[in-house]
Amino acid sequence: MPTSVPTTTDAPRSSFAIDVPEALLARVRAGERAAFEQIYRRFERPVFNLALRMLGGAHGPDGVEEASDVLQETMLKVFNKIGDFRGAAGTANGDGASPFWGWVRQIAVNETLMRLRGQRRHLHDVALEDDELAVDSGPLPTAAADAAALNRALARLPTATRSVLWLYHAEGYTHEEIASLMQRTPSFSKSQLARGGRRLRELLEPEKAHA
Amino acid sequence: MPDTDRNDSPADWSGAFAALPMETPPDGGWQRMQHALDATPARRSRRQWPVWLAAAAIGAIVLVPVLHRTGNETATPASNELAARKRVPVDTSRPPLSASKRPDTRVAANTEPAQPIEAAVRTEATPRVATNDTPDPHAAQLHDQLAALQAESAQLEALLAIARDDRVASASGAALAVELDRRIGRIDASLSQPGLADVDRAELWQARVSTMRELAGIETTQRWLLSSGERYDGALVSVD
Repeated sequence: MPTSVPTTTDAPRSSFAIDVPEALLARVRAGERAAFEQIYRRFERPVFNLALRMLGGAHGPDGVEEASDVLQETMLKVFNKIGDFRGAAGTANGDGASPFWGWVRQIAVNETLMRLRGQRRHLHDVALEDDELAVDSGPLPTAAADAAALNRALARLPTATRSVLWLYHAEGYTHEEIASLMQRTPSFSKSQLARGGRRLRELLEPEKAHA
Repeated sequence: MPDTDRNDSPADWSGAFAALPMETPPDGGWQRMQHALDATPARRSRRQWPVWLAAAAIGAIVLVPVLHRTGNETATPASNELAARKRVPVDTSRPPLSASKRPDTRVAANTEPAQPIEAAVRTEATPRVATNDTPDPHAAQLHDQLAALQAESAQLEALLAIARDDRVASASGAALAVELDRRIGRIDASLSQPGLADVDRAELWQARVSTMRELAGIETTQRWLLSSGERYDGALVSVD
């Protein structure tokens, strides 16, 4: 079944897409703490932001603390596992190697999903296969441009739905990749995406939802 | 404020999400990181043993009926290759290597889209990635086994969704369940690695199903004990 890619005019650009000099990675591989601090400084905001969005904790101290924990665990793994990284430092490589930022992002996503499962926030989200038939289309509500309103609406979504929305729309993962990350089917990802889009509209335009 | 002054709606959800301000972590993160780097090995090795031992011990006592039943239903002849590898520990700690394969994903400085994730593992010594061009009875058996494991995993997920009740749980039962959830999370992280050979994938799915069985056993036992007025241990805790 072909992947249903939304009709986007402006494809998502990951906030992780940061070039890192190969020399810097070599210094980190050698265990140089100051070099790792540079890596940490470059990626701390993307990692923290991703965790906060997926965990849904943008409006509370608990969420900030959780996202900080994800940041720390992610960067610890980056430091401890950097010897396993076989890709390229930057993004404009000609040999098809995976960029470093993609590796960091994958660790951050996995760490966040592990935390969600550890806190048992995943299992109650049940995919309805028919959901994908109802496509979320049309212009976005005006309120979608209001960051505070959009944040509040996102926070009210079920965890799995919010995670799929963020991974797909903000990070540019495919349904197949999301399915692999969450140990679900691509249909699950598609249905969550469709359901999440509709729910976000309802939350941002309550008067239309009840009309 | 910039957020409310804007009067143009984003074209799509990607645009709307991209327009959200990037959140900043609290101050002191790097200092915390340095302490963690210094303290991690000793702290972790001390802390995890008792939980795993408790999980193994209590799981063995509580789950005999469940394992007996489900084991009879799902025990299929394992492939020779998988059987031979059964005692090899599963590496659930290695982070996956990937960037998105989605063709419209943009990356920094208008460069080409992220390259296929297989490239990241190309240099690793993993020639065991399965291919479809040669008929291999072991591969077919592994695929069947994988499908059966995935189906059982889905059934156990559904069972857990019904059986689990976080509002009332015994302290030890909840601790075990959380630890098993974490273990499943680690397995899931390993399963999400690109380029996994079928035999590795089957091994991980086997580990996932086994852990899910343990978890389902704990949750259903807790519910059953609760319904009959008994409890897993002396201390009931309420979680809102």
